[in-house]
Amino acid sequence: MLDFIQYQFMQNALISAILVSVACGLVGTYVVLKKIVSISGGISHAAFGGIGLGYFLGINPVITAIPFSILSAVFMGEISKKVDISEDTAIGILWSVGMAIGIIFINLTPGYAPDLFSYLFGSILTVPSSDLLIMLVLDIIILLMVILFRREFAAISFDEEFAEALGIRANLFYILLLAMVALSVVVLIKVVGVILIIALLTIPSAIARQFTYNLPKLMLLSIFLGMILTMSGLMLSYIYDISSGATIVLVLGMAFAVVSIARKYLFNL
Amino acid sequence: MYGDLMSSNVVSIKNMSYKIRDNYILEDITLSIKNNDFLAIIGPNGGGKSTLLKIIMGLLKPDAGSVSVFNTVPEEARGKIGYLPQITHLESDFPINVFDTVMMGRYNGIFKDYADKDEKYVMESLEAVKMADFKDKQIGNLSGGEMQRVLIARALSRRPKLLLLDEPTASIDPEMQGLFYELLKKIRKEMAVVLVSHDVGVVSSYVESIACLNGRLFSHGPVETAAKGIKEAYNFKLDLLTHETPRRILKEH
Ligand SMILES: Nc1ncnc2c1ncn2[C@@H]1O[C@H](COP(=O)(O)OP(=O)(O)OP(=O)(O)O)[C@@H](O)[C@H]1O
Ligand SMILES: [Mg+2]
Repeated sequence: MLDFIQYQFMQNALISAILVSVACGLVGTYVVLKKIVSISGGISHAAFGGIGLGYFLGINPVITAIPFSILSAVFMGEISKKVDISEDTAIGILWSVGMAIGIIFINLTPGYAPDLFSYLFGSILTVPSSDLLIMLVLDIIILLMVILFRREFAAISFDEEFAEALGIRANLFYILLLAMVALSVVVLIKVVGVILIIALLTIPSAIARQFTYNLPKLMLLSIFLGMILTMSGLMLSYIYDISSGATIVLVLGMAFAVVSIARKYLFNL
Repeated sequence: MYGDLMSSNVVSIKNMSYKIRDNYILEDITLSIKNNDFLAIIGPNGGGKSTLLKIIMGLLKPDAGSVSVFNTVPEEARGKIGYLPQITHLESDFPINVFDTVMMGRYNGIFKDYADKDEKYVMESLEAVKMADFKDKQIGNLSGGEMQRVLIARALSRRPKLLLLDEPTASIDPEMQGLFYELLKKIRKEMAVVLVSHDVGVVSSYVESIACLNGRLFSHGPVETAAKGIKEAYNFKLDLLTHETPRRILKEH
C-alpha cells in the first residue's frame, strides 16, 4: 500500500512537506502573533515578480524570487513609515505591482513558460531535488535567525514601544521579521504557490495557539501540525488526482474549523 | 572630583521644545534631575507630561534644545532607565506569562542570554509589587490593576539608575498604593525617581520636588515652593482653550 513512497517524486514531496512546515511553524507564529497577515500576503504575491524575472533571465525562478521578495519586504517595512501612506495602501500597491512585474517579465520571455501554474497554485509533486536544497538552506537560515533573535522578535511582537525603550531597534527587527517572511515565502512557493501561501503561514499557528501559551511550544506544535496536515493534503491530492496546493489549503482550513468549533463546543459543556 | 560633578546630573534638559505640526506641545523646557532625586510631574491633561518622559527615553525627538541623560544621548542611556508607559500597547493575547513579561525588563542587548541573576531580580521585583504568586499566570488573565503592577515590576526589574513612571498608581487599589509609595521611598536611595501623577495631595507627602508642567514648566523645586505653581499651571491653557474642548479640572488640594 505504501509502495508509492518509493517514487522519487513522492519522496521529494514528503521532504518538501517537512521543510515547508518548519518555515511555517517558525515564521507563521510571528505572523499570527504580530498580526502581519496582510503584509505577508502582500509579500507573497509580490514574490511573483521575482518568479517572472527568473523566467526572463533563464535561471531558476526560485532563486530570483529570493532577492525580489526580500526587497519587497524591506520596501514594505520602510515605505509605510517614511512616506505618509497607510500600511494598508502600501500592501495593496506592492501586491499588485509585484504581480504585474512578474506578468510583464513572462510576456517578454520568448517561448512558453513551463510550470508557470505551479508557481501560482503550487505543485508539491513536482518539486525537484535542487529546489529541496534551496528550501533546506532557507529553513536553516530562518531557524538560526529565530534562535539568535528570539528575544528581540518576541519583544517587538509583544510590545513594540517598550521594546524600543529597552534599546531594541524595533524598526530594524521588524524589517528582519518581514525578511524572514520573505524567505519562508520562497520556501513555500513551489508547494502551494504565491496565491495560497498565506494559508500555510497562518493556519498551523492559528490552530496551535489554541492549545498552548508558551512561545517555543507554540512553534513546535505549529511545525508538527503543519507536517501532519500538509502530508494529509498531499495524500488526498495524490489519491484523487486533484490540485495539491488547493487540497493542502482545504485540509488546513477544515482542521482549523473542526478544532475551533470542537473547542468552543467542549468549553460550553 | 570633577567627574562626579558631571555625572551627578542624571537628566539635563536645556531650552527644549517639541512640536507636532507647528503646535508646541512642550516649549522652552529647562530641567535637571540629579542622582537620588524624587520628582513628581504634575499638570493638567494634555500638559505634555507623557511627552516629556518619552523625550527623556528618546522615543520622541525634540525640535529644539538639548536633552542629555547620564551625560549621553537618550538612546544610549536606555540600559539605565526603567520605564512605565501610561498607555501600554502590548498585545494582551500574546502567549507570555507574568514572569517572562517582567524578564523582558532585563533585556540587555543582542545575543545576551538571561542569567540566574536576572531571574533573581525578576522575582524580587515581583515580590515588591506583591505579584510573585502570579508568576506563571498568563498576562491575558490579569485584572487591570494586576497588569499595572506587573508593568511596574517590569520597570523595576531593570535595576535602573533612573525610574520613569507615568501615572503608576492609576487603577491600583488604595492599600497597594500605600505599599507602592513606601517602596518608592525605599528604592530612591539607589536611583532617581520621576513620577507623573494627578494626585497632588498624596504625592507631595512622599516626593521631594515637584515640577508643574503645562506646555511650559511653571515651577520646579522643593514641594513647598513649587506647589505654588500648580494653580498657575492648571489655569494656563484653560484660559486659552475654554472655547475649545472642555478639559477636566482637578480638584485643588
Ligand atoms: N500623535 C499626536 N498628534 C497630535 N497631538 C498629539 C499627539 N500626541 C500627543 N499630542 C498632544 O500633545 C499634548 C500633550 O500630550 P501628553 O500625552 O504628553 O499629555 P499628558 O500631560 O501626559 O496628559 P494626560 O494627563 O492626559 O496623560 C496633548 O495636547 C495632545 O493632544
Ligand atoms: Mg500622560
